[in-house]
Amino acid sequence: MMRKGISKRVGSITFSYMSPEEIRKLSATKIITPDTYDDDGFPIDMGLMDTHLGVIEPGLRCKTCGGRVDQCSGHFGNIELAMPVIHVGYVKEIKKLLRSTCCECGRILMTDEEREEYISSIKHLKHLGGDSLDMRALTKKISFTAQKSSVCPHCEAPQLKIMLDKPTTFREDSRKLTPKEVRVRMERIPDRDLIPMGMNPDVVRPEWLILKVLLVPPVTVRPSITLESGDRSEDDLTHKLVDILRINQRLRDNRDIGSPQLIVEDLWDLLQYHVTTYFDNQTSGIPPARHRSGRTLKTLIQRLKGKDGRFRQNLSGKRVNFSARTVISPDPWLSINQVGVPMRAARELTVPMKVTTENIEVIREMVLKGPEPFDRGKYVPGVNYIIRTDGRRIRLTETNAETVAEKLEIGFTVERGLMEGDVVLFNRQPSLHRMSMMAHEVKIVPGKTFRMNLAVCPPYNADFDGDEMNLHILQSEESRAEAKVMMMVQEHILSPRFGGPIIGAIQDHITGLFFLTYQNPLFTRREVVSIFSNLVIEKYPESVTLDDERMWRGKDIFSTFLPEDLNTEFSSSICENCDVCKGIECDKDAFVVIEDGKLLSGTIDESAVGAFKGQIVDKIARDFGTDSARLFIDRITRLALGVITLKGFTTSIEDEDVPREAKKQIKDILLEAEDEVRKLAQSYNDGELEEMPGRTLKETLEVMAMQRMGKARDNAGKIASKHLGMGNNAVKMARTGARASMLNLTQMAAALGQQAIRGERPSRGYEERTLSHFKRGELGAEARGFVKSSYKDGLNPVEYFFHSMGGREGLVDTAVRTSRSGYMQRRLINALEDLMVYADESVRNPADTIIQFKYGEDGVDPMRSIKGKAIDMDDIITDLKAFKRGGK
Amino acid sequence: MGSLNVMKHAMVPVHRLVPENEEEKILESLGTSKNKLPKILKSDPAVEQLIEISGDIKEGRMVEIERESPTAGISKAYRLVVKR
Repeated sequence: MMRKGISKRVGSITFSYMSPEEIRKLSATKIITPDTYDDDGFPIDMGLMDTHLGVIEPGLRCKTCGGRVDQCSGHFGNIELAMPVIHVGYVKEIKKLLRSTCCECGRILMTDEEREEYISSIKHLKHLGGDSLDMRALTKKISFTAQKSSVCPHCEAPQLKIMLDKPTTFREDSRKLTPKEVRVRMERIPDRDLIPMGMNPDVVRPEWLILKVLLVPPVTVRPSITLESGDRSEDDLTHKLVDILRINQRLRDNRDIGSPQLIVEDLWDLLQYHVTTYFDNQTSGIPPARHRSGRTLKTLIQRLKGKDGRFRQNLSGKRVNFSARTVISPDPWLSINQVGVPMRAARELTVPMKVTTENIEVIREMVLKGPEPFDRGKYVPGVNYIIRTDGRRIRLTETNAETVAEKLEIGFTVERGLMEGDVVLFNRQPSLHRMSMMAHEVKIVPGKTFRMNLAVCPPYNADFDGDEMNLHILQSEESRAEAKVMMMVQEHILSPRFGGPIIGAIQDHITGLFFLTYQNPLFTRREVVSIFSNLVIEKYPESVTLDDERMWRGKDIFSTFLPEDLNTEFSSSICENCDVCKGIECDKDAFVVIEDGKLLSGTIDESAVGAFKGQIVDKIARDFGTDSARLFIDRITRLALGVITLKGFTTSIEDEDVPREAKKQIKDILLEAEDEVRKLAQSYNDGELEEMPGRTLKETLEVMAMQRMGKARDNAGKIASKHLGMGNNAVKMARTGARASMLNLTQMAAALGQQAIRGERPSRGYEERTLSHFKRGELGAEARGFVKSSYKDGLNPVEYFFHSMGGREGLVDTAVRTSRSGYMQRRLINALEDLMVYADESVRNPADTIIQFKYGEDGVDPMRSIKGKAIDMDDIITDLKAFKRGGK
Repeated sequence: MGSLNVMKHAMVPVHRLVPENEEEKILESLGTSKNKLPKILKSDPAVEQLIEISGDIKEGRMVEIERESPTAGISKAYRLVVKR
């Protein structure tokens, strides 16, 4: 599209209050009657639905501009208030003005010299680039100093204290000030005195803060709806305006016939109430106006404020077209940057294509096939709509396909269904980081769910227990190009969160690769064929000949997928952190050495390829590019599934079985610990315990008991793990990092250990005891939440209760944490959303003021950093070693 | 009894008053102007310490803050002195 020349530019915007004159000038008609429609259902003149204010019914024409429903956006009207009322939104300003000016002469409560000094300090602040917040703080301070004087420096009139009776009543020494009086005072303030109080007399006068005329929004802002029964239902704003008009009329009548002052004042207060609730129906201090049904009315402020307000609901976030949402399911046959889109969704979602001289015949061909074509039962993208040059949309059907195809012209836009390879955005809420929304390539799949590779579960934090995800179809060439370059999954393998890979092997992948590489097992020809049948391979692994049979070693098979010049070394997850590391000689096969793309030693597990930890994935993404990393992940995950399918893998409760002697040992350890705690409690009761520095006696006891109990569980765990060797599947998963941890196993096999509430032993419940089963003041292990049983044995009722206490705390913590961190994140996002890193690496806001002189003070991109650091010396050294060996 | 010298504290980075003749050069190298710099209050303890060393510091002067960082070595930041 041609960009029209911009002839004018907005230099600045000034926000101000509206004067009564301005409201009258803006008004299309005066509103006097509270009635809306006459008996025939037509809007009454000078009523709230007057057609001068615009039209909401088709067929009618606006009396102001002559436009129809879709042409006229509406016009404002006005209500002349019989008596002035205070605007709730401005009470703070009014209070400030009343307090800092003289009640007699209206001058600001400071000498002319002081005033001029403050005016110049405001000018100075502007000069130094003070923003509106600084300005507000300064003028607030000035007004505050003015309020302190009790005598007017100009006319020497004593100043009485002005009080504000929330929400809208002002009192001067308990005498009520009517809005009329307030208005008179505002009128008396001279222009120049307004500047120190932060008002610009060129655009605003303080008396405008008190309403004499009320602006009535156009009917298009408060449309009435016709129910099925034919009854009309008015908008909340209209209801409120009707109230205002009624009271306004009664007030005027009563005032004109000279009713008693009391009646007039009551009506005046009532008018004030209605006008106040018209602006804000949640004003504290007054009951909210309600609908007949008891529902509170949604008036002006309520329309804007909060989560359901205009800003957060309709402006910051919107419902969009060209999107889809459904349940997700796993599909290991997809690449990590693909997404499986069910056919039904692919038919509905469209991509616009511009018809050009180059593609007109191709597109004609597509249009001819209609909206739902198949090629020998396979999906072919159809065309749903054709948009002509005049903007008319034609829906393509089987019947009109031929005629429409004939009329196809250059410049038309054709909306076709999704095609394999289209770039789309895939998202899972809550979108907490950039990896929550990534670009994928479309793959059309049967069924009704979106499918994704398992390796992209960690960045989305997705599982398949019913999770749903959203899909957005990009609608322009620019967006597609941008998404492809910046948002593709492979560009997010490295996370800016911690400078490592967030996408990598998970669960079975890790177990599978462990089976492939641990102790370098041999595979027969049949087995290798079975494993490789899962993937496309480019080169074959080296074989060894044993007893005249060709065999393949697991590490050689794995090496097939490593880039040829990859060099690295690190310790596996299964590493036991021995006192002296034997390096490549490790007898536990826990030290990974890769030389020139060959895995020489070590087991491939979580710390090699896992999401969050995978060092090989990290290195490939960094040194060989994101595309290689993607291929690597795609291949090794499938390889792993091939291996684990071949080997078979299961875990059961038997995996937590420990021999009887071990059980006995564990029991002894726990009993001994219990005994020690009993002794501790005894010495505490006897007053023999010594205080730890900075702790009371009681705290000392608790800390020591906690430590002792922790140690007991660790020791029990050690005994248990001694009997749970690497031959145990549950242990394999825990040690390799595929799933669960050794602690989990300990708790299943040995004992749960000490339960903690807020980091301490449970201590509350009954008077001086946790449960009524214990003696008062009992401090032993059992009485304070120590669980001797394991999950497998089962807990006794008392233990069960303590365990529930700990479990409940965990639940409450997560609930509190998510809501709190969500709010903190919202505030951070709002504060930082429009900061930008410039070419000179400085971080600036849109006003061009500097936030950081160099991004992060070091200019390091966290995504390209190595675990947050700019360089990794160890890595450079291994590379250099490889170079010395004669590598590249 | 002298008051605490915050500048001597290990957690307080080095503050230096930028001489007026250097200001222009620094601003140019940053590609910015004075009113776009971050601010530091004249009542800031570090600035008060600087005042003690070099006499009164007028509003509108610049302070250089030199921080040590494990990733960047030394990073320099600038602040504009303002009164509240």
